[in-house]
Amino acid sequence: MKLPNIKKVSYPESTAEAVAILSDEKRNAVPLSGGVSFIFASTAGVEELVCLNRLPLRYIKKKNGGLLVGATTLVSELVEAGAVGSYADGILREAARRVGSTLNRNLITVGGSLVQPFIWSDLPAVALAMGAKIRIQGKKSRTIDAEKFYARPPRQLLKGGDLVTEVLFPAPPPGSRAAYRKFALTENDFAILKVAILLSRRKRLCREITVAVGGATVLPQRTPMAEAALRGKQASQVLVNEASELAAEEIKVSRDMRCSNDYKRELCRVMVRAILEEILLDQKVAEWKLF
Amino acid sequence: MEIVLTINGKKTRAEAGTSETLLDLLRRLGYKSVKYGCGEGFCGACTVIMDGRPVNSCLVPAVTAGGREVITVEHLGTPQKPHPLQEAFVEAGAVQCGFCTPGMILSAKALLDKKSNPSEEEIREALDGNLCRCTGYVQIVEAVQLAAKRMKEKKRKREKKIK
Amino acid sequence: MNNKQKFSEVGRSVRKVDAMGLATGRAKFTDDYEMPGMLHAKLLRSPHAHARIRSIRTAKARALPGVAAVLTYKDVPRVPFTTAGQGYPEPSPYDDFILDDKVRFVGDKVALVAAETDEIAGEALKLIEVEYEELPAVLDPRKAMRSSAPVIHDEKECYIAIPVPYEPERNRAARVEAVVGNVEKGVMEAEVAVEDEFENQTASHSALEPHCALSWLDENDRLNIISSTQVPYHARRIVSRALQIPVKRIRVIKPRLGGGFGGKQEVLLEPYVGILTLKTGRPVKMRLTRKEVFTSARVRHNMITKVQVAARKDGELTAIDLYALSNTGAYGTHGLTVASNVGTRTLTMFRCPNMRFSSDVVYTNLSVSGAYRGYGGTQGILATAITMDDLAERLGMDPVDFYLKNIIGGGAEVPILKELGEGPVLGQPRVSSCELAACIKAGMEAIGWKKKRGRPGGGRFRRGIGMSVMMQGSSIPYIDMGSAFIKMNDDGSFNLLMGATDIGQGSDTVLAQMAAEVLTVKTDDIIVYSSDTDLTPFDVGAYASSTTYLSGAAVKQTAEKVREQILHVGAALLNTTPGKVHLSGGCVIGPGGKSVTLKEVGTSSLYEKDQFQISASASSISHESPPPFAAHFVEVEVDRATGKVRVLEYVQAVDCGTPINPVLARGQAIGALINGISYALVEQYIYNSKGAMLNPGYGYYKIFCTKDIPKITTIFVPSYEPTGPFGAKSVGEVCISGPLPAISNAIYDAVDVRLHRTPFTPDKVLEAIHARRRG
Ligand SMILES: Cc1cc2nc3c(=O)[nH]c(=O)nc-3n(C[C@H](O)[C@H](O)[C@H](O)COP(=O)(O)OP(=O)(O)OC[C@H]3O[C@@H](n4cnc5c(N)ncnc54)[C@H](O)[C@@H]3O)c2cc1C
Ligand code: FES
Ligand code: FES
Repeated sequence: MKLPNIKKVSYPESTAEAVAILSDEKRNAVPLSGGVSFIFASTAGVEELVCLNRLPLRYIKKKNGGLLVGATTLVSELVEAGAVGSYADGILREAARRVGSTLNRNLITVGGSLVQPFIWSDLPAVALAMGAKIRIQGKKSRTIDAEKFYARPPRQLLKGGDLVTEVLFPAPPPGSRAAYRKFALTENDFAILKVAILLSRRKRLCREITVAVGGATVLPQRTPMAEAALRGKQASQVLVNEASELAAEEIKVSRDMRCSNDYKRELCRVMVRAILEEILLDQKVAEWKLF
Repeated sequence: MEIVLTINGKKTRAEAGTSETLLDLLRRLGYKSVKYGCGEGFCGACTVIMDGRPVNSCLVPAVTAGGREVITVEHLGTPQKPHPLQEAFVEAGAVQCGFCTPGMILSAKALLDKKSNPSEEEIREALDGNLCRCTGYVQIVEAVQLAAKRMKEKKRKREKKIK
Repeated sequence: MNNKQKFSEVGRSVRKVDAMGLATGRAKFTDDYEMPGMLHAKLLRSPHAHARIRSIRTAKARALPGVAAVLTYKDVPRVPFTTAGQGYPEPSPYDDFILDDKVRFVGDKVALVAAETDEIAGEALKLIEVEYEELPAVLDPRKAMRSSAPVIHDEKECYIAIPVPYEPERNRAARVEAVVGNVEKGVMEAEVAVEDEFENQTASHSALEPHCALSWLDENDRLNIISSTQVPYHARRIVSRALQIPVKRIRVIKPRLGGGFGGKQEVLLEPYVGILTLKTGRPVKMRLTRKEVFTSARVRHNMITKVQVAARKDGELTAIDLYALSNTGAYGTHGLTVASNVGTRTLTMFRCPNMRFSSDVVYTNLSVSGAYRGYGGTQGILATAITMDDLAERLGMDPVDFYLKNIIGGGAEVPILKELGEGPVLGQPRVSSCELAACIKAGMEAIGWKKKRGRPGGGRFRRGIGMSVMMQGSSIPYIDMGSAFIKMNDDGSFNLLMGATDIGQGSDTVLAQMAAEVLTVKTDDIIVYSSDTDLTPFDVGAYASSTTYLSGAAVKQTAEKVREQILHVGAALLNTTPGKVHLSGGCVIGPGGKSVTLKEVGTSSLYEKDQFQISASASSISHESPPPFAAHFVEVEVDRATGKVRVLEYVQAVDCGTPINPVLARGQAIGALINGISYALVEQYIYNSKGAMLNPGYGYYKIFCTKDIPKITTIFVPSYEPTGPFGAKSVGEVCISGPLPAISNAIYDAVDVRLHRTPFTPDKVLEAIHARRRG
């Protein structure tokens, strides 16, 4: 832990108060949510920590078939909440369940996980696949789509006291299916790759689809070519194979010390295909656990 | 920076260093059952129960621990009057070198507080952040099962008495 | 074979004597000790794999407030020594210095700092200015002995203290060669022969407690050291050499220890805290960070093994030829002995007239290897057990039948041990007890071998089953020594003082059980104090699986001597002669059933009549190193799309003689097994092209957690070792060696590819599957 220049820790009780502190440039303050990233982040210039844990932002609410999650909600609470389990085939619960270990999940917050993606982060890919809307309060309060939020490192979007206060995971469209899979060496390992897919279909007709791949680069990425290959099409094994190949080709991959980039692409192909076989072609795959 | 936190039920005023973690602070205050194993949140040797949940104390900046309620294994039982989990760990061979044991026991306690009758899978899930290189975990899982069984029996007996 | 007697304390799962203190958080590990005025020490580590220090300036670091000492190679004795905590003279080269003007791997020590706090020590390290001249490095053991390779130990001082080949000028730290029969002839006689090559990866012991040591000067100016060591006595001797102070001025104490697995059979910190205490007069503590444990402590030897096995059509082995190129890293700790164990731990198991083992141990500018649970056996069994699986298949035999035909049984003579033993061998070496065949039968039954073998199924997920057999030793014959001292108290309890080192494996308990057995008391009447060089008698320490067997024999003899004295006093109290009384149930029983309790005996001996301290001491050296054996069976599922291997079920059947404490023995067997499976599937050091480890943390160096554990069955087959105390031999190490080959063989059964390089990570498995498809 290196917070060499910390002079103050504040515990605002309202969002407005927090924003006020964070926007005061002289205070060099940063928000601290779960605080877990502070062991590896460089914090030399930081003089004040603004602990968010007393803000009324720790909640999971159902909203029009979607989920509204407060920024300081623990990842464990996502795992435990019934509403999360029944949301979108449990896609968010599955991703939350695979974040680090039980001990880690009791510290890590939803806000912290979304604001600062690392190559191992699990939640951003789901946010991207589900088209989550991220609520920001600050000098200029606004709501940003996950797609835009993750077009660049999100911190570049957040300026002058901006605080992420909540995330809306919208209601999945009717007839939709969703799944999140993580591939790792051990149960708790940082993923080598993860894939989140949301699609809506009528029988075999794939009406809409978003594929989000995490773990290939720091930011989660969509696979527009693969999506286009399926969107509005009558699904078949051939088409699914094609789409998964496209996904494998089009993703950007940064170097991972544990395996070659080619292996990662192959994994992307296998995972996208397997998920599509499950949620689009209704193939029974008992061994899902293997991812 | 001065903070006030509750450790094992005791309100404690402490000077928290800006480069300290809660782990460092607790050890400095004499709670030596909280161990350094990796300092990065991966091993669980530093587990404490904070506000009701087991967490890695090495990931908590000490300056932010003010107002928290922290429990270490020193609080659970003594050799004369051990907690059923401590008893079960000793009997089932779940303690080899014992370096992981305080953390394991705290994770298990947090589980049993929530769920008196956990499945084997739930036990494995609850202990997944506590690494142990000695035991291979099998006897640790057995110890938690044994403790759960005994605690339930005890509770049943107590309830019978009351009736 | 089972002359099983009825024991009352031995063979029972009594509570581990130190467990409650640990479970309640009271027990103290080295880092839990503090001293007034204590300084914190840190080492500056080399960023280069191979470099000479051109200049080193410490003025700025010294000037930092709170810094008490900054030492470089200029400030410390230049005495070559080895950090390997082995018997004296060590079979490892004296090729290390406290600090040197040369660094030989990334993470090697450069300078030493002591400061008021850990943080200041860390700041001071950053202020030390070092100018390095980078040298070409050896990062591939295969290239180490080439004439063009840079010489890693070009210093003139390095040497080895025993008469064995040592050629630092060729980067060769050791050489081993042993032959029985004639291998070429054996191959000629064979109808089927298989040749293959394997490589195992570097790995970390990952004891949960990082290495730690604390030293101070007592009121008599003696250097006291509390250390997380497996070898207190060796630590004392090595510190004496490195610091050039007499042994009598040093006391080493081992408190509770958070796991060792061989990683703490190294004297890595004691000389550093010691020299700082001598220079500053103050207590000094040093605790490695996890990162330092990965980069700068010891690792398992990476080896490239080549093997040829040959057999007649009927499956009878005619030749085994095994070669290991062992990568000892920058220093030669345990280089020779681990290499020779590659041979002993494999060849001993087979009845084969022609066998050869040879090995080159080479220096590289990589992590320093050392002792690691399995100690060469792991590397040797990887090679032989996969090759034998292959050979059995080519012979059209079930590997089970192949093994049953070729393995030794109890009483077998083992000529290869004469050539390969670490100590002198008198007479023809023998293995007294061996229930390996029973292990194989029990294990195959439990897993359903016949039903499952050769039925991978179809589709993306294929199942396979594989097996391996393995062995270890119990102590190093004629070299290792253990001793104990027992005294009796007035309440009939006993103090058992011994050098044997409990590192978590439970030796304090197991040895107390043995004393209790002889003295016919309960184990909790034995008060154990171990591993303090001032107070407890000598023991080599916790390694070579020697404690139960060797220290156990010493404890048993000691207790027997004490029993004699008890009988003497008891007889006097009963007005009879010692020959007419016996000890039973905590009482001395005389003619006509008249008896006195141990309490009466103890009280009388200390207070009443002809007072003296009932006490005794005994030492034991071993004449054999009886091997424990095990057979492993594993069922895996391989995902042909991703290459991921999942262990579904694991069965191990173990012959460890009498398990003195079945619960603890089971814990040893399972702990070693899980370490072995984790090693086989995920653990590995990843280096960059300059020899720096890229994954020095549990983030990218994964070890198994609760959720990764498959279904495990552990069977102890009935066995009795006639030379061991109460029929015991060792159990601590043996089971770590099975998973590498058993899993590789199971993968082969599932998807028809043989994996030769460990670990079997998904990318490697998939590559092999693709390569096979490509043809
Ligand atoms: C051992 C370990 C294993 C892990 N494994 C995984 C894993 O498998 N998968 C995974 O997804 N993650 C994993 N993580 C977590 C991940 O690395 C991040 O550290 C984590 O998501 C941070 O969450 P936090 O709540 O602690 O955020 P913090 O550390 O508090 O904050 C992170 C950053 O975001 C800023 N911030 C926080 N909240 C807000 C807000 N509301 N508005 C604006 N800015 C904000 C902070 O200033 C900081 O810069 C792991 C972490 C550890 C330590
Ligand atoms: S020391 Fe905190 S998790 Fe390892
Ligand atoms: S008992 Fe040693 S690490 Fe768990």
